[in-house]
Amino acid sequence: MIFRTENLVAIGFVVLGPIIGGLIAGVDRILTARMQGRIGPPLLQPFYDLSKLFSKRIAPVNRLQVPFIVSHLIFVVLTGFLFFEGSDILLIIFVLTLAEVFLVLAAYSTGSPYAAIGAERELLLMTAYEPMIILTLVGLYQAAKSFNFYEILASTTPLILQLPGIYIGLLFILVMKLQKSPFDLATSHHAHQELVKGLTADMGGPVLGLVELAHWYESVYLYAIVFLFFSSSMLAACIGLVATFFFVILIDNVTARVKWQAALASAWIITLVAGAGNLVPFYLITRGH
Amino acid sequence: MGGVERSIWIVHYDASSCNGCDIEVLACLTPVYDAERFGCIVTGDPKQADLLLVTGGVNNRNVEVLKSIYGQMPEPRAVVAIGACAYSGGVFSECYNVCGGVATAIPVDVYVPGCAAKPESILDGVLRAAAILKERRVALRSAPRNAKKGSTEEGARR
Amino acid sequence: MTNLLLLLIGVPTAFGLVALLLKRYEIRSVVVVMAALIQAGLAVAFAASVGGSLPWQSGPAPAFLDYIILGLELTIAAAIAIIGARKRRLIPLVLALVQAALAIAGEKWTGGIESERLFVADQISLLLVVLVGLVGGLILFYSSGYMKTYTEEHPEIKDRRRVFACVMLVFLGAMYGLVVANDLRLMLLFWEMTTLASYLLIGYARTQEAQKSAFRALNLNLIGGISFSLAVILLAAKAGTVELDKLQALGKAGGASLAMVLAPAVFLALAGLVKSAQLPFTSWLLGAMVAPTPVSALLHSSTMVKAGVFLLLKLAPVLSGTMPGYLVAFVGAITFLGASFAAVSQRNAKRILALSTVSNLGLIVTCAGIGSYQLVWVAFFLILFHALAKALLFLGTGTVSVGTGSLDVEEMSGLVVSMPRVTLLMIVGISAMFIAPFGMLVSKWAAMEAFINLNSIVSPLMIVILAYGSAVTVLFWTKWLGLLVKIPDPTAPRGLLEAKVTKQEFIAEATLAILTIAACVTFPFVSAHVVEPYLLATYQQAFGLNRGNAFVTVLMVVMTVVVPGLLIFLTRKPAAFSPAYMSGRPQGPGLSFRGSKATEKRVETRNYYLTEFFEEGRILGAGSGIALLLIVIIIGTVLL
Ligand code: SF4
Repeated sequence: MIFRTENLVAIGFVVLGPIIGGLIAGVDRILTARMQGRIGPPLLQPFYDLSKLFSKRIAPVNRLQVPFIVSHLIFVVLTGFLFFEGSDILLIIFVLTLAEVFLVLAAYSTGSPYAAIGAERELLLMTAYEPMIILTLVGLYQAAKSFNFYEILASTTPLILQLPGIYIGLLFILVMKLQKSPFDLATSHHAHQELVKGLTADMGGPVLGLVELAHWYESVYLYAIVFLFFSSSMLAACIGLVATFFFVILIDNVTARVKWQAALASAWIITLVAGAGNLVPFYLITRGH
Repeated sequence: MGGVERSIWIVHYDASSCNGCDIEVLACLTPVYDAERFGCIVTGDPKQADLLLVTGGVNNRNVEVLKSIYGQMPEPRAVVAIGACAYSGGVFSECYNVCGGVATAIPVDVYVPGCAAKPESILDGVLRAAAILKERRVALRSAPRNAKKGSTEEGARR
Repeated sequence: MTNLLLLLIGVPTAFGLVALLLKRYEIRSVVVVMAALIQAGLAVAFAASVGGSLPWQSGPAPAFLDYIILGLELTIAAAIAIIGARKRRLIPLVLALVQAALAIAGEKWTGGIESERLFVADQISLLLVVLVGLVGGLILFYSSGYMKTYTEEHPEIKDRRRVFACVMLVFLGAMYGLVVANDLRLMLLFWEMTTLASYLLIGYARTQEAQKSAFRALNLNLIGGISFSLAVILLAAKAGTVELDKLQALGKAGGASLAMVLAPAVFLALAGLVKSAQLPFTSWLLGAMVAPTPVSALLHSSTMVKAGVFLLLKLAPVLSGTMPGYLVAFVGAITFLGASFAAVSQRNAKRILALSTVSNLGLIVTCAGIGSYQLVWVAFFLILFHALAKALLFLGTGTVSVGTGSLDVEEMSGLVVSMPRVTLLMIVGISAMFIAPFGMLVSKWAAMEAFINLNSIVSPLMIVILAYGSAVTVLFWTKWLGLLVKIPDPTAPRGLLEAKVTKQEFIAEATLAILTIAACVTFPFVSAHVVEPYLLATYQQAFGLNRGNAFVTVLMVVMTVVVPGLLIFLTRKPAAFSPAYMSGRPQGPGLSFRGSKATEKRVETRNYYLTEFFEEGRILGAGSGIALLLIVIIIGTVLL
């Protein structure tokens, strides 16, 4: 019972998650640089950054900041653990919401004007992408008749063909979830400075390191969800993942930041048109009696 | 992984420069010079920065701001003063409100010469500061956690 | 057992009358606290004694009861008519007269019918009994402290605390009667009693606004009452019975017998929709927040609105799978979505709570309307968690608003510093409303899975509605939570505003918080031993969490409480704090910039309210329109 493959994968996620996530971030930065005609940092740059962040010394802004951030990380890791352990992914996504809430609360607690706006905007983005995430999982369930990661993985038909609209919707919100332009309005990896750093404005050193780490973990299982859409053949999966990854970075580099109105409205409309537009007929066709 | 000298996050403060040096600092980020090759990122937040890049001289108004920004940077940290103004006040040194170079407010580790400083030399200055950061990190590691650390060390001059 | 039940109904009522006679506040408050304790004890005792073999059934009604019920009903109608006449309000007068006329005319059909079982208590009834007992008792206890401060702070409002205490107690008695009555005539009597009681409580302050809200509540609920009367008459005329369990049995049998009872069931459901403040009837509950806090807490948590969903849940086996059932579900779904959207743009704490109540009730109504066994499971837990968390939040808000002098949530900014203990309890309440492991989200997740498994045409639509609605729920709750945990100055002294909090208030809130967490941890147990037997008996199918998911959810609850709690404890004394980044120009401790000439510019941040998108009037207006249309169609389908 303890040594099911699922458990090993889940433990593997906890151990290797940061390495994979960090490499994803490293490739991301190199690709971004190349798109801008630069050479860019070395592949291992995110790890240098993280190790540097953990070597810094900084006092917290208040008593709640650090507990909230650590909780954020713990719950993100736990979400991933349960995800790869084969628990109900719909339930887990609700747990992920909890992790996000901790991050937002950490920002709120500082009281800093920049962090406060960042927190508000992050919340707004959560509101914007949440419906699509739920529809994605319901769509996957409907196609594979399971909320278990491995059972969906084992489905023989390529899900992307059954759920093209849902995939498009997911792609759209992936940009938000990964804090990429044009939806990087809560915080940003680039030197936009009007919000200082928004959500992470008053986090420095190890505290920021924890946020980064959580972000890496998160990106791993987000891409794992993307993977599910192509899981019927290994080749398709690789191409699909790489294409998705490339697309997200491309969008990041060719768009300018939008206002919150546009972020919310566009995400909800895409969810409704592509997501629900795909799910509703698909559900009606495939429902059992 | 020796992160410190390969991951240099910069906060740039324009004290009272003529903007000449600022433009050269920004030039470092462009594809021609690509500071990110060395792991340099410009951030707007002193709490996330390792290096304070100051252009222009200090005047009576901004001396507090400069001190405050420096004070909010977590240890280990370093300061690079860019251009003649940041060294001594430069062409503005005789102005009624100018106190002098950056060193009148905060300890400076590296001076980058020029009016304006060239991007190549700015990058060079940043990398020298990175080496100083590395030393400080080693020193900080051996220092007890709560001991107050005097932040002035012999400023390397170029 | 019947005697215990009669005690349960009678004791609060009797204590209420005693309270009316006691002039001295001190003595009265002792009596009220005693009444609160005794009735809670009776409620638990009743639940424990009949809990072994459910459903519990009493014997038939005594022959004369018919006349007593009729007499009491006419008395209530007369009282309302007099109120209407004295206050020069035509609508309640007319409605009360219609109700009286129906009661008398209905005798022709209902008069001769003897009910075999006067009372029936199943698991749903017992859930309500326990909730009314515990939550209602705690609210009473709270009010003994709160009303003192309230009266002192509002000298302009006439001190009518005697009436207040009396009505609150009678209200609880009526609620007990309502949830165990099987004879619908008896249930109608209690139903009307709660209507009248809520009118009196909402109008407590006697200001113009209070009067207006009280009459709005009265009018709408009288309409619901008339629908109830019609249902009873229809049922008697068509099926020759006035008993709820017989109605359920006939409905479940399907075919011709379902057709016979569908119309009465639909009229009962309409009464339930009004009482549970669904669109387009929402306005009465939103207006009710002018009442003192204990009243809001009582109306929103365990009584009144829960009576509405209770009835709908009882009707679920009848409505399930029928056209009107689906339409009722859609009314609920629209209410759920509309109210959660509207809550985003609110700054008034009580209004946020009210709208979130409405939205949760909408979800419960949706579950009951579709009525699959899984959804009934969900509805059960939604009722449980919502009653506890919402009572806690209303009481907490009341306490906080006395401290800050405002109901504006922005004024609660930094509350974790100024009222740390109460804030902790509020955080438990808010978390229970929406954060993952706590009850509400588990219920929402289960609702989602239930919709998926329903395999019906309405499922995908419901899933989409739930997806949007729950996203917005996270938004408005987290916004509020964020304000509470804001710490403008980590070195400031703590607990400055907590001096005014009375002991009664704090004890009531703390108990509710503990009950909330306990419910979250023990809910797999409740599911296995209470809800699943009910579902098996009613639907011959049971739904429960599988072991893995139950484990995950309980683990989550524990972790959510333990992880931040432990971390906060471990880091309680950091060596130093670094001040927040103030663009290089901070001024002193706390959050302010130094302006020119060394003036201090305080930092003021306000939350987003997104009125562009979530304007309350527009949303509720549109929702009411659609809901009204649906209701017309519902009536049309059963009458034609
Ligand atoms: S050193 Fe020269 S270019 Fe640079 S800020 Fe001073 S005056 Fe301008």
